[in-house]
Amino acid sequence: MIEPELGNKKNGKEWRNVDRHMAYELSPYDTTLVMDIDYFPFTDNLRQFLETDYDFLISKEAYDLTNRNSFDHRRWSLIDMVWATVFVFRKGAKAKRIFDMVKYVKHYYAYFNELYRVYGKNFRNDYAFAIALEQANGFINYDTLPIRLATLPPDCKIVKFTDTGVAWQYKDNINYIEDQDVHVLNKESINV
Amino acid sequence: MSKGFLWFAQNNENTDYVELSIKLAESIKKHNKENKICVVTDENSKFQHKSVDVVKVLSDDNSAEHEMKWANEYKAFSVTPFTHTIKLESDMLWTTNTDWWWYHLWQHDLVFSVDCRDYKDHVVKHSPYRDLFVRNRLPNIYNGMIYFRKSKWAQRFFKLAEDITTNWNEVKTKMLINCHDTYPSTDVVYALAYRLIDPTNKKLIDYEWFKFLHHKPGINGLMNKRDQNNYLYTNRTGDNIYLGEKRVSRVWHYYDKELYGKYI
Repeated sequence: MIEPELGNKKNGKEWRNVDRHMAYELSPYDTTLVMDIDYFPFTDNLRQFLETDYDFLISKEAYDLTNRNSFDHRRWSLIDMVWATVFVFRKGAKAKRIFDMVKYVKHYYAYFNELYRVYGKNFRNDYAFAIALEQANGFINYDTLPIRLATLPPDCKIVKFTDTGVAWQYKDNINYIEDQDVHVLNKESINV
Repeated sequence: MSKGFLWFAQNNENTDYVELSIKLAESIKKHNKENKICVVTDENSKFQHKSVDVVKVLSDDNSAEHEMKWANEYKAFSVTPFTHTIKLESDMLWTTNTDWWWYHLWQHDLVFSVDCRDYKDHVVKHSPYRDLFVRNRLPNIYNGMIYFRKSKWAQRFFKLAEDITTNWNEVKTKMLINCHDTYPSTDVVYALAYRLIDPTNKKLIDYEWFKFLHHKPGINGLMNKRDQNNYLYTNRTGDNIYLGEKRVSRVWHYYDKELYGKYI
């Protein structure tokens, strides 16, 4: 158990998201899969990424399950964003360097936020990791998970959870998906 | 069996292509062990430099009266001193070692850079500059980087390019739709020649690594920015060029001649 660092806000409320840089030190495992708690793995697809030779893999693309392409983040910053929602790391010099860089970026986040012209001013892991990966990899492309995260935008209301999938409402439409990992951005889903 | 790089450098009123050529030659020499270089030029632009192994002066300059000096590019096949040639443009810069390319390239007669890349290293298949290619169903190839070896197939291609160039006014009005280029634009000439010898692109080789970074705003998705270099903080630190959050790590077709002197 750790005490979360406070002070980051989202929509005027406390946003407890600034501790992810500690994953390296806190994990008791050689290879670790880190996931947001709003990511629902209805399959074991992510398991295969625990058995690769890569030191650090993170997701870079999200797929909008409502087909509105609402995660085209280029317009919100100069830098390509990653999704720190799901990432895998194997303890070693390279992963350590990346996490050290995340800490550095976090410390000087206001500066990096301006440098990369990130639209939102609060701390966001997605940008902290994206910036750290660019820096740690010599400003060239880095390894990413070969998947697009299936994601439900915040305006989708979750109407049903089952063991195999999720049903949601968007405007007047109800839809559902099964046997597919889903990232649910509407935090009210916990009340379903 | 020789291997080398070749490009044309004919100065015009606005640009000193010889100067750009020397920079390109120096960058190739710096990064590659296989680094023989031949620059083809005209009587007015001829030069000598230690980084350029062979300077060939055109005896018959087809673009002598042209504002844009494109009309000699079909001669690449006949003037190259090499068995295996990578043909480039002079406003490019080498940023990494590419000696390993030859092992792949020399297995073929002709290899084009198909599509290009933006500063983020994404492959760009559609750009605002290529409507003519779409309208005329031309392959999306770039003359900025081509490999050819001395072969019948490559010879046939360049012969067709010659026919298109020397009959440009007829070609652009009778064979192409909506083509208003006064001079034979090399990209169009090569693409049309390739379409004629291989209409279904059956033999078109598309290596994902044989593509250059094309620094045009429309390729970079920055048409809405007044000055893309200001937006991207284009800068040089040590030997590296940086564009936005990226270090240039492929062949860079900087295109914008104003960058020369500032960062190159």
